[in-house]
Amino acid sequence: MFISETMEANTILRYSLQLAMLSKLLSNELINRFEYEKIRSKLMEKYNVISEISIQSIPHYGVKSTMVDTHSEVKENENS
Amino acid sequence: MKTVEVIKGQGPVGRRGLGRKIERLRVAAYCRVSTDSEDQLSSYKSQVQHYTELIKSTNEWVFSGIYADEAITGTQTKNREDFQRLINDCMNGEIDLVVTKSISRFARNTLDTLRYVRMLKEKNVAVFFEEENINTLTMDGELLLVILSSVAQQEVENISANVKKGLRMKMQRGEIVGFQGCLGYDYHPEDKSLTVNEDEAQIVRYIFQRYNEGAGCTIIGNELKTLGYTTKHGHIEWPASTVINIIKNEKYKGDLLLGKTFTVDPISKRRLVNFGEEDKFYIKGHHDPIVSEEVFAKAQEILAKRGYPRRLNPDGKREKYSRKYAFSSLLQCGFCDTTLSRRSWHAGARHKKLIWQCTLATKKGKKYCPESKGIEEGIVEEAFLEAYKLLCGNDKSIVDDFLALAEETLTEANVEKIISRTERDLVAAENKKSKLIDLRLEGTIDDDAFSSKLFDLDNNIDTLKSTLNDLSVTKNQQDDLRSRILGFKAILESNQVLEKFDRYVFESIVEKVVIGGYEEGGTPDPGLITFVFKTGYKQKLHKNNYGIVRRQFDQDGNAILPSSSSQTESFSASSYASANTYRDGGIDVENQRIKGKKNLVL
Repeated sequence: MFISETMEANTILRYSLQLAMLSKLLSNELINRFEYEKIRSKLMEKYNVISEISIQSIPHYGVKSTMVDTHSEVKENENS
Repeated sequence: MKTVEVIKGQGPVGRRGLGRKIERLRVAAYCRVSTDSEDQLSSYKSQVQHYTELIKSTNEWVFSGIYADEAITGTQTKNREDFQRLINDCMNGEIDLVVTKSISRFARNTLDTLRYVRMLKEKNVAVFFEEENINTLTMDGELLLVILSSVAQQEVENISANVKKGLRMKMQRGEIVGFQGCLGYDYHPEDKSLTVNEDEAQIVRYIFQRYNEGAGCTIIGNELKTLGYTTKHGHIEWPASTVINIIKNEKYKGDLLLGKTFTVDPISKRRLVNFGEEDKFYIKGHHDPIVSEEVFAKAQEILAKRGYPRRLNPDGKREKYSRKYAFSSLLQCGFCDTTLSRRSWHAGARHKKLIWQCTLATKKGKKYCPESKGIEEGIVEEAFLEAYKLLCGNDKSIVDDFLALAEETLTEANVEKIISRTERDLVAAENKKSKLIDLRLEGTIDDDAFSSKLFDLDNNIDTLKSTLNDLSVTKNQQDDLRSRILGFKAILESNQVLEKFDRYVFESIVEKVVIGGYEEGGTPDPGLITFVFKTGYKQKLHKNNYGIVRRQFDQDGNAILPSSSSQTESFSASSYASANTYRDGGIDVENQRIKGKKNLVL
């Protein structure tokens, strides 16, 4: 069993969030592609990720399910 | 009783079939040795000399030539060019007698011996086996010939069994058997060791990296061709099978598997893949690995997923696994569990839409999944951004952690060193150019060579100049690193963490997205979007909340597609990365090579 397979939910989330931050820096042109790739590979190295698709899911026990229905909220607001 | 008059036979009355009497036989000799060892070569030369002298010194014989095959086995005839030539000449009536040392020299295969002897006999061509003293035209029946040729065949079978035993013992000792080297490794036959060839190893690492990112073998092959790499044998084409064999090869993780194939029998020499018919030998840590065990295992996992046989699926359908688009194989129908496929509605028209739709409904018919409906790609992207925002808390420590890593990485990139190296390279290239011009003026090189070399040098100089330019910009930015990091912090702490769809982020956190489903009362709702995250959470959203904005059109009247549909940019981490590579992982395949490119991280 590899580390990437046993990554805790928190670790997966931290990795994903930091990747999102990196993406945000790139889209805001605060870093160039060279720097983006360098930081991304550092991130992957740090979290022991081989590739994004290979990150294994945590077994779905005790799933917290959230239904966000902003549509009905909009309707309610319109009615009031 | 009637009387029977016996008309006495007079023995042979002339050669049948030819209608002519031959005074002197046209004789040819056939010689063969099976290996190119010193002893065998001298035996071969002796055979040739002996038969040349023998035929020439016999008065009744006319010398018709020596046919000889060197270092070729007698178990098959197809590779024995001179043997085939001999048979052809015999069939053309140019030879009356073939002399050979023994049956084993003629053929090591009983069937071949009989076949050719019979064929020649029909044409009245005799074969004389010197050691056994058999002339095929005068022998009484074929019994002796069959027995002796079977003995010759048995001999070769015994040799083969001994060789096999020897190879098996070598394998047991962990010695490499039957290996000629593979991409990424140099093989040294003198000590039978493998060493990493760093240039080729880069290609191997690239193949594994791209495969683990989801690219298929054909795509990787095309990329390698575009990058200008050649295979181990120097071919520019990279067929999918070459790439897949690299992915499967355990040597890249430092191990060695011996006995992957086996020979069925020494006569047909048919080689088959060893599915367990014979022993295999696995040696762990035999040599230096090129990729880590984890990378290799991940690649095997993807390979197994993609190659899962159709017959093993309970419904007999093939599970297709694709990573062409960000949503490929990740969107699932909430009614029939089939994956969704990407379709284009109103293609070529002003109202073009990119839709993900249940494959069962589109391929088999709507009646098989009546509740499902197509969903726009842009809506799924928007919904993901929303779900992601809800999933992520407001943990400041993550931002600090990220900024520390970014600062460390950006400091590490020692631009000054790279700049001085590039400047040196530029000076060297310019010196080369001026020398080349001198050579041309002196008339030492011709016009064609001059033009081609000048073109290469000019290209190189241009590339170096542009790299130098980029590097000096980066250097200026580095000087101001602290203020840059502060700028990063300000941006990251303001607004939402993900403003635009990003494929990497999507893949890192989403296990699958279920489109459609049933409400609590059991009413089907095709607009439900359920994100199943890798962290173990689910997030349910509704498509009616997204995509309400009116469609935008550009000046030419074409619909502006969602960000994920960009096909022109060479790099985009959105759901459709580029037309050429499907997901280029930030690598501009058209313009960059892996080796020697400083701004490419592998």
